[in-house]
Amino acid sequence: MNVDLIANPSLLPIQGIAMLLLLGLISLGTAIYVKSKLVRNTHDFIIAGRKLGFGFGVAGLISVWTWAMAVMMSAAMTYNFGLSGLWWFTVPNGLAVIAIIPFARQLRDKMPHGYTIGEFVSSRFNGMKFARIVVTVGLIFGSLIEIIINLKGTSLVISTVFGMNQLTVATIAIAIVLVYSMTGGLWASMSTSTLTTLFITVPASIVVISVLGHLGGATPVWEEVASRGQALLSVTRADVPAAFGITLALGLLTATLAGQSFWQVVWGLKQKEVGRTFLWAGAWFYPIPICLGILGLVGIALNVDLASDLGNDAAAIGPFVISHIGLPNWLIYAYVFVILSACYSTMDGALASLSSIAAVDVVKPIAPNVREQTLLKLTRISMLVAALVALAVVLSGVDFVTIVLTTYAIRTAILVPLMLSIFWPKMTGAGFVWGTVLAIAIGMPIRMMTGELTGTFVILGISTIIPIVLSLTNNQPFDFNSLRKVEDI
Amino acid sequence: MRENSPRKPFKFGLHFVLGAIVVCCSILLHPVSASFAAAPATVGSAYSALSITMIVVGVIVFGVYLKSMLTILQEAASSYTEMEADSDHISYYSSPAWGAAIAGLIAAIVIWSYGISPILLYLGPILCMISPMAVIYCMSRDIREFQSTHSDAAVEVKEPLTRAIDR
Repeated sequence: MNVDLIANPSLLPIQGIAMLLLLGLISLGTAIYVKSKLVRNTHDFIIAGRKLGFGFGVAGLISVWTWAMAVMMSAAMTYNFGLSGLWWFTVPNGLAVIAIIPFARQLRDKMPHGYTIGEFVSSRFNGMKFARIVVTVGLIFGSLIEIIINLKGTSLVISTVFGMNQLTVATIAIAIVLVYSMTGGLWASMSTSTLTTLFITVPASIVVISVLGHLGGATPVWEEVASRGQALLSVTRADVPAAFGITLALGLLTATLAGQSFWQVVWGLKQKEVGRTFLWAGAWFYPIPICLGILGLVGIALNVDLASDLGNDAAAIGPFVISHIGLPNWLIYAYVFVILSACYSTMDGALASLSSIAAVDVVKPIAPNVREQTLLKLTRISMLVAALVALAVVLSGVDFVTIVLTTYAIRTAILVPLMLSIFWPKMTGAGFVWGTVLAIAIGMPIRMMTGELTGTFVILGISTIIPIVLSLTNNQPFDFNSLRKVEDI
Repeated sequence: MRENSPRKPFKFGLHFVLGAIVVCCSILLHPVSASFAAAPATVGSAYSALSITMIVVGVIVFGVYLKSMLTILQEAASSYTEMEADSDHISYYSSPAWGAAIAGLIAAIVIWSYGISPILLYLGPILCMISPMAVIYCMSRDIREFQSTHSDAAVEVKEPLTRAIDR
């Protein structure tokens, strides 16, 4: 396609700051409103009083699951691998949300007053401290990584589109998210996430249709991609599963099952809504990457160069296309709003999950009789600490995709032991701890030496075999009904 | 003091937020940034019939979505002290595996269809616009439930009175 790609000269850093603030202020307004109506104690703050309904649950989950990943990587994977990249990125993504349903139903039913997975592991293994510590560290690390990745995503987009310094963007963005997250906890997080689902889906749809219209319709784009090789329009490329598909699919599963952002929703929802909420959220999440992946095809059609145009970062393909083909500014703002919404909602979900981990898995075990006001204060301080750590990591400058895959590898080690703990009465604490620790200790070096695919299977293999071997001889099966004794804080 | 003191910071906070939103919007909508002077030549227009249709649909979806969301928050606040009884017949979908398979299959088919014909590239954006409509449906179920709970509560309150009158 013969289109000159020109950076939009009218996009200035001040507009980038205005975009960052605008979404932050809308979220803050929502959080203030929600706090005044629905948040009266720590229980409301960290678990929304277990009163989240179907609508907020579905919308909140869609938004929490729509990372910078889903928005930018769907286009990036399409740009890199054609439709096979989009297929392998998208299909496991929604299924990962749905896959949590049987585990969520089991735990919500057997442990109706739970808060965190760490708390479950502690109750499941008779107060075993080490097991709880392993899981809690994993959960904290996972939530921190969610913040870091999305903070990076925000910085990348705003700096690409508005020519701002990435570090300035990161500092402003985390400050904004921190303020409104500290205001209302999980209720605020789910309410703002419900709002951001609207901010993601409607503008994404309009922007992609407008981009196609701007380039003369879908036909010239499609024909240009086809002229570069039919493989780009096929979903059956053999190299894609090994390149990233299988690793990502397994990693996504661990991100939901071993991620507190999802478990806090499981325990925050009304009990009867758990199953259908996750099913609907998984199903209606799909259109987002399916829609935004088209920008990857547009990038191919426009012959965007990975090295010279994108600085070797394929994740920038969406923002680059949008800001270089001469779209009216309001459409560029709309696209930026989509990405900011995805990033903010995931970050506030992660901050809310860290607050519940801090209250339930850190403060309460150390000081069981802590006063209500002090507990609430400490949960807010935990958010502040997490935000500062995430900002420090982003300021230090690390690679975007590498962080994602490393996190997934570590969470993979927890996946099978956790699944066994939820359903297998014979599973022991020793099996859980050794399965997880050895999988990380042996699997991670192997992953670094042999690559992601082999490494992931080694981690999965070790974390499956060790717990089973150590637990098979257990003659005292666990009574899951005993989890009902767990009480609200 | 006529004003309830805890509401003062709340009102002040909301007013501050609204004012700041206006400032941000005025920066974004400033005439200098409202147009793009050096647009590269393309054969089409961002304002196609389809994109204008999507904008109109989007505005309607926006309005209905926000109204539903606000209704739920108000209903949740008004029923803050009500405890929901644990239901014996929990309405989990009995076979999420079926739902999961269908959802995954549809997503896979839509992506596969992109490679069949250019016109099918529009499926993704259209589905993306339907996504918030699905959420609106979910919220309408919540609202209906809130309303039925309230009417049940009203009947419970009325019943003793009615019985007393009957006697």
